Amino acid sequence: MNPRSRVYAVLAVLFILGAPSAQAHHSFNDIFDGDKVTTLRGTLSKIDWINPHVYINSDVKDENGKVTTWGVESPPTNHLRAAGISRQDLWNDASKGEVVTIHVNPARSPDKTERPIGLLMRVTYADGHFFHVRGDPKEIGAAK
Amino acid sequence: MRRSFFVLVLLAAIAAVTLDITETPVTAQNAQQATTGAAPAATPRLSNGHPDLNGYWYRRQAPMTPKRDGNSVTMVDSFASLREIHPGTPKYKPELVAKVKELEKNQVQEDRTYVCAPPGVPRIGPPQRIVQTAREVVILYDDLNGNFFRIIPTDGRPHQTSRVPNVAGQTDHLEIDPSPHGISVGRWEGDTLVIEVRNLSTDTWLGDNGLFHGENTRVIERLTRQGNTLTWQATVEDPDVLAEPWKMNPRTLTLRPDDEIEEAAFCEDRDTPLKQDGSYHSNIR
Repeated sequence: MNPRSRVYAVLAVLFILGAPSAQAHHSFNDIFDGDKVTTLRGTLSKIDWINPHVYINSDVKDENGKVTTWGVESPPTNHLRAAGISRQDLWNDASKGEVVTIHVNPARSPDKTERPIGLLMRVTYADGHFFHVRGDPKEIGAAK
Repeated sequence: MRRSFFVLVLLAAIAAVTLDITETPVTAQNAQQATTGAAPAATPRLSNGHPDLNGYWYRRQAPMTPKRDGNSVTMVDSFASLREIHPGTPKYKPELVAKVKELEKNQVQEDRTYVCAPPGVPRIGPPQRIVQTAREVVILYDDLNGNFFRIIPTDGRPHQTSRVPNVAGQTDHLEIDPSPHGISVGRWEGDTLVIEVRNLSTDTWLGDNGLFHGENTRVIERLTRQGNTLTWQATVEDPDVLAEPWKMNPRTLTLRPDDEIEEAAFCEDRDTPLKQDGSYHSNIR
């Protein structure tokens, strides 16, 4: 097999393997950039337990000390519930003010939003436990 | 070279199919065991002899399969499970196909479920909680867009077309306006509850992708309990817009005796300012 053929073969394999997940992921790609992962380290400030998307609010401090509250779009309440994740699991008295790490796909058009937003991939708490709701778990490891 | 290429493609295809199979949700496996196992559970009945449909029926909502490890949860998108709950596609009259495509293209602006409107029948999907008496069946929904209910007489009452409004001194009947979930009546055909829905408002769709409907839509739902599974199958008859009745793919639900429907969280759309034409968002319920 010459190198060029090998490239086509590999592309074909990737296409076939990738097809199911690509179709399952199409829905949010217009609003959020599924190819980018932004890592936020901030303080959990509020959970908006609303539909069609729960919002996790996190106060993120930049290098100049300026605090910006990110809105992190998350799955609907009944999807979280079906996965065994309650509102209390996401945020309770113990986690109030806790510094968490949140991996998100950022908005494609940040200028359209009053504050920065992202689509939740994973939220990791101080003790290391996490809720992963989107994307390849291995990618998150690489994004750290 | 060519042979190696095809072998690779074949291996990849087998791998893809295998992945899908391994992601088959536990609930589906349970349902399968319940219907094909050696000793399926008996179907409970009410004192009038009809199958007992009461209870919380789990319907897969998300194309996701959660995996728990200690306190951590990983939800993984599963294309296989999305396909499992897909309702299928209706066949429109040839002259209306372009309209469906146009609505689909402009779904962000046209689809009212994006802005928390009621999904309507049949888009709201299978029952979630059923309350059954000898005279009627009540279906309750904890939907993304709110809590919805349907009261379905099963004692031979016809479809109501008017009712006395709940106002002191008022005795005149007023016509009932069309609504997203319409007016239903039920009847038993053997062990299957057959529900006929009429008076559906045209501001709802039959499903995602611009599936509009006309003013004379009729939906026939069939609910059959076997052991601890419930099969829901709906057929849409709409001779004004459809070329033929749309027989939707059936859904199999599993009874969860220890679970209960919850009050829906407030629905507030925050995405609309960000949406662009042509963006699509799966809303299978």
